[in-house]
Amino acid sequence: MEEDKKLESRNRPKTAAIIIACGLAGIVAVALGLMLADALILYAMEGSGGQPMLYVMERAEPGESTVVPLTEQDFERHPALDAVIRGEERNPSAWEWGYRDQRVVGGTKVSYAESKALHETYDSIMEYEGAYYVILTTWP
Amino acid sequence: MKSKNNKHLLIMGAFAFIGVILFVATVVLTYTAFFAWLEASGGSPILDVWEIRGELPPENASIIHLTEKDFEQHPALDSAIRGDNLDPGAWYLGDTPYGVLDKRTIGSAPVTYLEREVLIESFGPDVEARNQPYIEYDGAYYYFLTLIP
Repeated sequence: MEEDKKLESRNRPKTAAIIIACGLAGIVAVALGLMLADALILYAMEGSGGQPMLYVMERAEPGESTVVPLTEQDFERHPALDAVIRGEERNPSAWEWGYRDQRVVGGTKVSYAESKALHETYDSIMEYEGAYYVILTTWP
Repeated sequence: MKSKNNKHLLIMGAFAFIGVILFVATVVLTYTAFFAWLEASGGSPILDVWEIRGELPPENASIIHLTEKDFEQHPALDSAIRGDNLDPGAWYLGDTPYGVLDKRTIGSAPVTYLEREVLIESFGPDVEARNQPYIEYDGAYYYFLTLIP
């Protein structure tokens, strides 16, 4: 009886270790699975032939959201953003159309991967040279 | 000793098995859930473009002259006015944002909700003043409406 108890108490840390290892293996597997599914979805969308677009909307006021300044590094990393905000794709509409506190600055074609990266990186209001911008990405 | 080794192997095998099952299940579930969501959200807004004719436009009208860049940046507008979705109907007298005028449907194209917002911000109407601009291309005048499903 006493020996049984001893054995049980010796086995307890072992069981706990196995459960923790199982949990960790599960988390790693799910994380890897999500990453692979993400890559597969991008691959399937690229093959679908649709054309994702990047649009940049200018806001008159930033409102109460946090404002993140755009740096030269952002423009270097994302040439599409550079082209729309200050390059050859800049084609601003008049403020009066739609809502008067915002206007479209321009747009350009991007790949699905670039669209996803832009969507994930720029989810707040951006500021560049005193103007406030919102980045919009559309998937057909 | 041997049985201990076997036990270790068995435990490792169980881990690997659970890992693989979870991995495959996550991939399959995420993938199918994404495409099921895409299918379910299939009811997208429609961009309808109309051409109008008559003594147009009045003197103080707001006119947007479409450029090649506009067509490049708004593929849906391009396809409805001069692309794959161009399908002109017959002329008839009807209501337009500018009054009763001779009009005809020119084309329509499916757009996403975001594209719809971008089109409205770019080419009107003015939400506050309820003023709709005249859209001009190649000597013809157009206006558009977006229908939400």
